[in-house]
Amino acid sequence: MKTSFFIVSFFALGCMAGYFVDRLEWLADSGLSMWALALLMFLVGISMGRDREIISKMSRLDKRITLLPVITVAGTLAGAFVASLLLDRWSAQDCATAASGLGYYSLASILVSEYRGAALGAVTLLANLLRELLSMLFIPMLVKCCGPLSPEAVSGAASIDTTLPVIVQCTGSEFAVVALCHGFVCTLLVPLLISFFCAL
Amino acid sequence: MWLIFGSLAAGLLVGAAWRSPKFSSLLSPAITANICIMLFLLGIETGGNDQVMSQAGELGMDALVLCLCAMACSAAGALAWWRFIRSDRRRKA
Repeated sequence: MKTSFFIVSFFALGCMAGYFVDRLEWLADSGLSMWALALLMFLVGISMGRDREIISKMSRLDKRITLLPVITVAGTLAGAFVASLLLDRWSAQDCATAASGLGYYSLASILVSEYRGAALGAVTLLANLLRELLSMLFIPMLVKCCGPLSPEAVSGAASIDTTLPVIVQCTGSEFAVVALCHGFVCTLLVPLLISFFCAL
Repeated sequence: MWLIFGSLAAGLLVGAAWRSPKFSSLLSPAITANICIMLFLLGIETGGNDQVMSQAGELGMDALVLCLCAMACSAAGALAWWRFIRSDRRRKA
């Protein structure tokens, strides 16, 4: 938990730097974050490749775990419905559209802004950004209280990249493949779900 | 997407071929440092986005409620699924 707070504090530092220092904009536009992500994947790959027993650990996993993306989407939509009861400003359709980003804030916010306007687009960006940050923060706690599948479900599409190292550290390398497949399916589902809810 | 999977595949190959114990102590701090850099860059992007920053207070609470509800229901679903799989395996064993 301490490490997660330390990690997330870098996001807050970045926010302050981006807000107060105009000259840093080139860093955000430079594509450096994509190369940092590639390096992260390379390092995660090394830590997985070093584990001699990863294949046998994976073969012991239940095949029904592959249905996890369905659980994630169903849970997310149920949560969106609950949120629509608490938020007067947004309908159940609005909440379902914004939550369909599944943590993939960049693509989701662009799609929602295009179809449903800037206000819901901003909510989509913030909600999915928060989902990624908060899941990174709560993964160690979630593994203890909700089992090894909860970090993947809570991270959504981010389980394929940014939250993957934290998931591997907390659940073990055998769940890395679960997180990767889950993140991949969720990433593919994001544009489909958003288009569906926008067309309703 | 290909860059991500390509990097992961390259890392798997390097990790399988190179198992020096000296290297393993450096791996975890390197991963943490990389995540910190990524989040710092994401923060710069968010902080520099005027539209998001100007509406952060107004819409931020709505986004937080939506995010927490979605996360809680997803975690509950995953816990129920994990318990179902475990109890079913125990019953069959």
